[in-house]
Amino acid sequence: MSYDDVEIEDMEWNEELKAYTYPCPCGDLFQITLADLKMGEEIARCPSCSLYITVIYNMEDFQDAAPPAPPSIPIAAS
Amino acid sequence: MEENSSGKIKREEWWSWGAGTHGQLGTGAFHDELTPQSLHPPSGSRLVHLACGGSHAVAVFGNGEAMTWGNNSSGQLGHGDLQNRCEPRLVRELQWLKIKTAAAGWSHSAFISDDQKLFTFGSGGYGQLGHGDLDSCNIPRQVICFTSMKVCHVACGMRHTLALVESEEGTEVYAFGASRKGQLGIELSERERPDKGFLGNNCNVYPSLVGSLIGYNIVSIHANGDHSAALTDYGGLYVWGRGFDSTNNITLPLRVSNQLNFSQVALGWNHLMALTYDGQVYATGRSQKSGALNGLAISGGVCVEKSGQRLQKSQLSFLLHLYEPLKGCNVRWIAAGAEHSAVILGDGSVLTWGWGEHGQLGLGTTTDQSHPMVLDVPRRKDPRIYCGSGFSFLCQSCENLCEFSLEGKIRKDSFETNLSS
Repeated sequence: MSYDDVEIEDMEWNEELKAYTYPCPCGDLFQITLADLKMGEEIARCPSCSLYITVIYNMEDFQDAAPPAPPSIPIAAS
Repeated sequence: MEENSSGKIKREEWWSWGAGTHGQLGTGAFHDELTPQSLHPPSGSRLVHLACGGSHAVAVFGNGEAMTWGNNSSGQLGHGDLQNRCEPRLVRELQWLKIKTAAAGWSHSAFISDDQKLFTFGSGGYGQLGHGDLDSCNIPRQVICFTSMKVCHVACGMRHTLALVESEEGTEVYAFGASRKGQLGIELSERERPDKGFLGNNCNVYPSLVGSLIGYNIVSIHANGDHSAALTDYGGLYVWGRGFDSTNNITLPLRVSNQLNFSQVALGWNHLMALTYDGQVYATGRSQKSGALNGLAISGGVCVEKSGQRLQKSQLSFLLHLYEPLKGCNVRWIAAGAEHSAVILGDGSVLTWGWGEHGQLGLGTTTDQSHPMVLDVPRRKDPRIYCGSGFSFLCQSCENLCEFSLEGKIRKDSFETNLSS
């Protein structure tokens, strides 16, 4: 069964994984792709363990959505 | 005592177990361990404090050295790069300072120097570094807001940070980072003011004073997941952040109603444990749809007296319950990972329970445990246990406990009786 219900607003877009992510209590990340969201998928899985979360979102909001822009400011050196 | 390979006298022994794919166990490998693995302490100096985050760990030693290891995807190791490290490594940028204490969040880290300055690094996407922006950084950066203040304690949650500051009038708690679950403990009206550094998306990028804790003589602060807690000098416990009943967040610090004085607090992602001065564990936990991973789904937490109305502080009560499996045991130390727990008893024995899928209970299996189980490690002097998300560290003296006190023995026996009954 689902570990938690997480609103899409609480998930972060991960450019490297091309997925929305949320911290998993095992130290890895729950992940769901934009394509999943467009299809109405609401389960985000963790690749390292058996847990998954239910993503709370509006499917319509993602029908024409492009991948979010990566953060404008890269890792600062100082 | 024994000599280690570098010829230094080994005074401490370190053990780690659980999730290790990011190098967070410090064993030199990138895989999980189901049983405690012995590590050579990385410094010749004694360990002062260790903190386990989402998948990295930080340590501070008596000589003022700071070390980090594990996941570095957001720069949370502070080494100037993004490379994961599977062995403890000195934070070079801090080596000209004497570091006194540290904290680790999901993917950020914080250190306090002996002149009471605060340094943060790692993920800053929610303002949890306190630098006034949403930038991440991979080397330690001083939190300028506190330049003229004395920071004495820091706590890092999943996406927020708490700092305890000493002033002439007493202590003050400051909070920054994500605030969506109420984890900053700051009133909405205050938080929404534009001059407070509110950047939309519920992020406080500058440290804000937790006004409702002024005058309470807070001596320690705690954070994990979206939870926050503070202890007063006489052991009063305040909690705020995500509710343990899964629906209501606690947006302002709420006094735990029990008329009890606590000496230690441990927060998981869905549970809270508190230790009384006489060694009793009180707890509350949220039961998930998936059942109680942490083994602490005890009804309690926030009780709502009137339903269907916007809750006023006076309408809430927060009660902890005596954790029955450890009743009568002389507990000296408590620790909580995201979904597992650990305690140390007066006789030096270490017990773990909760979610076990990555071996974080150290019992040689990946099974969950609903009750505390005794860990197979030597009983030594001065044991301390630290838990992160799916992994654990035990650090203790190499000296054996000379004699078990009669009292400790009796309590251990009574604990085992409790377990079998």
